[in-house]
Amino acid sequence: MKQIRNDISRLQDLLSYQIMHTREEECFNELAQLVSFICDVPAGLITFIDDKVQWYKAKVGTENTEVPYEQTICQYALIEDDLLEIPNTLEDARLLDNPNVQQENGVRFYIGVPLRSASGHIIGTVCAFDMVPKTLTKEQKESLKIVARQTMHLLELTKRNRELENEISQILEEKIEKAQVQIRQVEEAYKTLFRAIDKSNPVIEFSPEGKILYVNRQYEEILGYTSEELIGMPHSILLMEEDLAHNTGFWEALQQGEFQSGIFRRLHKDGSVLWIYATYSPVLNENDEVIKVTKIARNITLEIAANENLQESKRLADELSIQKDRFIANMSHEIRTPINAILGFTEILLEVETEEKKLNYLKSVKNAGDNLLYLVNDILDFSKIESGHFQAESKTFPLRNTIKNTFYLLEVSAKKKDIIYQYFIEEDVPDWISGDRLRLSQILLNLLNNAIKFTAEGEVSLRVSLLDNSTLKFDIHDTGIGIPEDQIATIFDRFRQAEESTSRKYGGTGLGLNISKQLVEKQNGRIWVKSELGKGSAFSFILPFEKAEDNTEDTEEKKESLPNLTLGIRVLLCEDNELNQKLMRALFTDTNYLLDIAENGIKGLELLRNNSYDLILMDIQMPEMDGYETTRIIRNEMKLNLPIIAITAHSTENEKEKCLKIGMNECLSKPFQKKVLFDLIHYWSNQPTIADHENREVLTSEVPVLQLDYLKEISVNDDAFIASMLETFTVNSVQSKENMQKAIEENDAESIRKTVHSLKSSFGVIGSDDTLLQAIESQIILQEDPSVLPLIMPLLEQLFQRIDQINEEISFYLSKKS
Amino acid sequence: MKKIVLIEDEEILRKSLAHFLTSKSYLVLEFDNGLDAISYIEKEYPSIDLVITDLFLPFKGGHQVVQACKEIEGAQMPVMVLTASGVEETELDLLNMGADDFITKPFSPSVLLKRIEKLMA
Repeated sequence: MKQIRNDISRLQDLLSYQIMHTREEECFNELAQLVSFICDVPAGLITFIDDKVQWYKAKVGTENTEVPYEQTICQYALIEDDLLEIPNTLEDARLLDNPNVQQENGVRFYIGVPLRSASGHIIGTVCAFDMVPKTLTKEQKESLKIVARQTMHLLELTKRNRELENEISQILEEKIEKAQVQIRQVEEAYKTLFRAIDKSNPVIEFSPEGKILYVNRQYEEILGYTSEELIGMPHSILLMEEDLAHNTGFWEALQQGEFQSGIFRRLHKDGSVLWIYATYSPVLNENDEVIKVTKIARNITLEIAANENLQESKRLADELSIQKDRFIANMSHEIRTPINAILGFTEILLEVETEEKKLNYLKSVKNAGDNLLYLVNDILDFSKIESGHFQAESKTFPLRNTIKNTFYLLEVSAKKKDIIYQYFIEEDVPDWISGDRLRLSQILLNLLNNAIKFTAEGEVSLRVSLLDNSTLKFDIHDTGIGIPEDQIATIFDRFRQAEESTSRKYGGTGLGLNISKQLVEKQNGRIWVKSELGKGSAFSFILPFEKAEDNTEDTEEKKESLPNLTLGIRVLLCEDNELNQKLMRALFTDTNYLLDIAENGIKGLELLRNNSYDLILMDIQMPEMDGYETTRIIRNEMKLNLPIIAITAHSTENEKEKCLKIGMNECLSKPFQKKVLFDLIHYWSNQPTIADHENREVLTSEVPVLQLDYLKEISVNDDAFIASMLETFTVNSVQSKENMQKAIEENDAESIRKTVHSLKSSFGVIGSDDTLLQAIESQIILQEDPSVLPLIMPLLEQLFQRIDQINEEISFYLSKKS
Repeated sequence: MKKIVLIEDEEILRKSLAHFLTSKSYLVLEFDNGLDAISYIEKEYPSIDLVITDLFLPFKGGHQVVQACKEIEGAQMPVMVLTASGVEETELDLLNMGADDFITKPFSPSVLLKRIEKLMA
């Protein structure tokens, strides 16, 4: 028989379940109860048996908790494979000495099923007994076996669970250990970091309420306090008074554990203000309560100041730039007026001058003036484009003619340099298109002019072709100095010439290409350049266009063909600028036109009321009443429909449009060519529907020197009084003349003005024309500048002559009378 | 005889006007500056029937004359201003100043007479 009791591997197996002498467990108790129910006996047990005792893990119906091995009945069940049933113990020989059986009321019936472990060892039993003999049914026995198997399952599961638990706790322990190592590392890193920050940055710590807990040396330095002075103080002592109010919300957020950062203003101990960039980090405990707030700061007072300076500088620079643009625009405009006069007079002189030397000088003046005008126009154009006041026009014009005319404008300069100058317009390029004629000319002039300027020998050529049905392509090719490769990209920038020395050598504003580019782009075109240094450049641009009907019948063509010869046309010029008046006067001298000049709109209307004119030349900017208002009155109030040609200094589309809208017929911008002016005058004065010929009077060009009607009337024909008045005039006017001559020496314009003003009344009384006096007075008033004197000197000379003339008349009159 | 104070610095015009008005049976007192005229008017205003003044005068100008006349309590004589066209005050400005009438130089003596008669009526 197999020795079971002391089988070491069985005992080890039993031990592995860790069941012996453990505490009572409900699940086993229930199984014991189930055993008693199944067998219908009072006692049911779950027991485990080692080499010494049978220990009851669970039991019903017995007081014992364990039995020595020798006294057990179950020791006989251990050797059974299946189960051991003893219906009557008194009849079993093995139990003759068993005290549990042999005692009174001992065990009479016994049944036990061995508990077999997974490894096959019997480690205990599920058993039941009764005090009376009995036999169990087959079902009861099978049920008992099921209980035994379930008990074993339970044990196995418990054992397995325990093993898993062990495993898990072992894994956990390992993990915890690892985590602890990591935490220590992080802590170490954090401490290092904090030490580093603490060493390099101003750091301060607060209690959640805002009391200062810690201040490092850097913080002490930026604030000027020592940490002893600060610790325990509320943070508010570092704040400026006006910042205190909105600081409350800030601290509340911190107390809620919210991280805060930003730029703050703080008060130095000495009262000065400093700016810091700071982060406020609330430090939380394990319950997420704020235990302190750590603030790391950076002193950015200098940066802020620098930034403010920068902003201010930028604002100033912007402002200056605007002022500069405005100044340039104004100045260019102001410069154009005198250039206009210079060019006009030069043109006149060129017409009459015969002496070769003087003619050459005059040509030089004209050249220089033209160049100056070109520059000023460049600048003006540029500032117009820059300020956004540019609008491309869309009007029908003869394209091929325009290109040819523009091309020939520069032929002279090309010839002078002895270079080949040619153009080629491909056949399919249309005769007429709709677009901006002036701008196209301007771009071509610019590019051709550049090409000629930078070409010493070889050729400059223009080629115009049709890229597609709605795009023109222009190529301007030269064999000039070329553009260095690294400068091609910036050649279209403003104020840019390939090299600085270029502007010294070749002149120009450096704006031409930029203007051309902007003009091309404003018309939805594109411009580019290819160039090789020393070999030449090829500028190309493309422009979209709209085809237009053939317009050969257009008035422009007609105008040119009309004969420039008409008699007795009366023209009224409304113009305030004396130089321009003189220029016009000079331009009109050799013509058959008669010119009257009004220095402002009011005067113009006055002349218009009293005389009949065929045409008006109207300056726009005039004192008292400007050209717009004057035209409005002529058209709307006086209901006159004679042609009015505006002469403007601003050649903007806006202005032109305004002129036409208000009722003017044409707009001529200064400076203009003599021929253009007279063509216009001729054209418009020959429009039969417009000119009003009915009220024409014969012009008396003579102005009265002495007319005594007034004096006669006022003195009621008192000859003696008239004579005394005339004598007084002579005495006074001679005195006035002397006064004025003295004032001229002293450059005292105001004194002259006063004298002239008072002379006006005297002239009125003796019936002498006072236009000259008015002209002088208004010039002085308008110019408001001592430098006016040289300008009005010719007028003053005329006045002195006039006074002498009057006094001659007076002495003649008086001698006749006496 | 109605008394007219005439203030005009330009001798010929003043004398002509004075001559003309005297011939029309007015008593004319001539002044060639504003200051003297004002001190005379302030003393003698009850006897004055009309003041005619130029605008630009030595010492005190036409503006001050008009102002002085209008500030004298009880003075009722009208003030007429002689203006030169073009560069001086407009009609409206003059009337705002308190002038009762104005006439632009050069003017016809008969028109002036009509205006004077109307003002003093």
